[in-house]
Amino acid sequence: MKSLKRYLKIYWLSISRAYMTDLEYRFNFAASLLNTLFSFISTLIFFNIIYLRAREIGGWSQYELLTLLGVYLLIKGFFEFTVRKGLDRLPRYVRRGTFDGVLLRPVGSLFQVIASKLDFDDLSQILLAVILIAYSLKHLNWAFNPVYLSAFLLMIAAAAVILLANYLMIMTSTFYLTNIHHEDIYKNFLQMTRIPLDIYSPKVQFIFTYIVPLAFFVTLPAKTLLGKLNPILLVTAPIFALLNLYLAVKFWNFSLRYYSSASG
Amino acid sequence: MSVIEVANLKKYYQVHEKEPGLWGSIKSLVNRKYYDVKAVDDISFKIDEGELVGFIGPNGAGKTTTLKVLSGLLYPTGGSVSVLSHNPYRRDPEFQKQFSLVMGQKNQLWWDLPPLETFILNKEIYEVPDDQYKNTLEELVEMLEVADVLKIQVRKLSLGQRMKCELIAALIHRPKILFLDEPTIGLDVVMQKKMRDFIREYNRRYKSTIILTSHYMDDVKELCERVVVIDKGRLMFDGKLQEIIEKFADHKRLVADLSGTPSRQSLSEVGQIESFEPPRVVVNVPRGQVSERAVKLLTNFQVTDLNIEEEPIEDIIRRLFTQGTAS
Ligand SMILES: Nc1ncnc2c1ncn2[C@@H]1O[C@H](COP(=O)(O)OP(=O)(O)O)[C@@H](O)[C@H]1O
Ligand SMILES: [Mg+2]
Repeated sequence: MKSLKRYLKIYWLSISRAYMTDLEYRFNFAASLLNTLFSFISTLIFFNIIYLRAREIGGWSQYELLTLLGVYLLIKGFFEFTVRKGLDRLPRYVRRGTFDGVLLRPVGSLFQVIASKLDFDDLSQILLAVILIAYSLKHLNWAFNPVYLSAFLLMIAAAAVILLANYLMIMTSTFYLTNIHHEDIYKNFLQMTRIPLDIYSPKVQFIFTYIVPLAFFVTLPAKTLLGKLNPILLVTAPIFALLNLYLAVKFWNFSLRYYSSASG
Repeated sequence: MSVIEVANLKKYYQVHEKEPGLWGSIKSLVNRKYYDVKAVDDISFKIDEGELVGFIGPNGAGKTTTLKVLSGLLYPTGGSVSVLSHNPYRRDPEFQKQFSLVMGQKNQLWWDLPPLETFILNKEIYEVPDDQYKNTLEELVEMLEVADVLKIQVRKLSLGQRMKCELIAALIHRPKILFLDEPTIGLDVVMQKKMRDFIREYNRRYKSTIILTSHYMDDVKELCERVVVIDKGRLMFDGKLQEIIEKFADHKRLVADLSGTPSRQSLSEVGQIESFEPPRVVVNVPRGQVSERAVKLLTNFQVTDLNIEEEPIEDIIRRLFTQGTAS
């Protein structure tokens, strides 16, 4: 309890300093919201064109698919808001040798990297996501169901953890390869999740669930919300998430051995 | 009691060769050739509590690497290291709260914020109690005379002021062990002296153990009784500064004032001329022949004053480095 309080305090001090430092930073929420909105509208138009011809795709009706899109935005927004901007600073820290300071301090190194930045602009995605999900559910005549909702929150939490773990693994390769384009890997990776992955054959679905765990991010949480989830996944998802996180942190700690601390 | 024990420490950096140009890049992608840089190569030493030890050696000798291994930043290639009975690489928080590493060329202060903001964050990170924080800060600020800069953005400070604030940030948790890597680098002479005075006073007052690296001989000469000399990753000498002279000085210096117009030619018969600015001349002579050479000088020249001195430590050490062999 005491250590949780300490970590929260350090988190707060560190984030507030990052903001004080960021000279170029202006509260760009409006611009960011517009940006999100535009890319969102183009996706919407795309979806609508498809649905002019078909009433259903792979068992997903139009508003169910919009729910899926909302969940996609929610996960992406949440991840980018909390974790991603901090982790993205890692290659710079390593190249400049500022990572030394991180390793010297008696607080977890991963925590410090994540706590180095919080981008409130990304709240715009979360906002839009919540509106979209609510709108779609209303059209689907979704009756409030606390069981589905808590199951959904559990699946969202699992998705967030799996995403964190996977992104962490990509970023950890910074210690071996200095010029990886993690940005592109991440984008391609995430974009694939906008498709309902259960349109594929069971074999491919298995791959996208447990090998490259894309289904966990969007498809499965969305299905939970719509009451279509195989309940067994409510058990396997958290286990799978923790396993991923465990492996990612292990990999991180192991890779620190290869940190060679830029000269100076 | 030893607080630092280093036995047969090795740290090799793996670097890969890259030929210039695009073709070189492609080739190195396909077939990377690695080779080792032996930054630290089989070094052993022990340091007792409260000692102030100087690490000297030319650039690239392996000083910084050694300190980084002692701080747990680098994983040693071989050998064993123990600091305060901890294995530094484990980076145990309990261990990390007991030491500090300050690097002259790097800063931990937030560049765009006043130093005080970093101190406040460090207070939380190192779990320093309120009253201890207050006392320590007050004391350090007074010793370093920086009361007026604490609320000014770091990037607006002079190098000297910044370095002093770096020290405060590193000392706010009262570390038992302090690693100072070139703390005086780039500072002017006055500031260098202030820094040295502070280090000496800090060591005396708090009985903290300090390792100081420098390639300025003056730092070490003024502060450290014991020096460790390293070159090319190897230990050349470890002991009292005075012993360097006894062990390695094979020359003495005749410092003489000559009247008249002495000839350089005939002076060189006395010994190797170190400086020739009549009336003052300095001649190096082998240790074993000091009296004969002095007699020669006295008979062949009109000597108004003569002193026989030890070779300066700087020169001995420089010679050690260029010869590259320890006896
Ligand atoms: N991160 C690194 N990667 C590769 N080689 C390095 C690295 N850091 C230092 N070296 C090399 O190791 C040797 C020792 O460096 P260093 O410990 O910084 O020496 P010093 O501090 O005595 O000047 C040098 O040859 C240097 O080029
Ligand atoms: Mg150095």
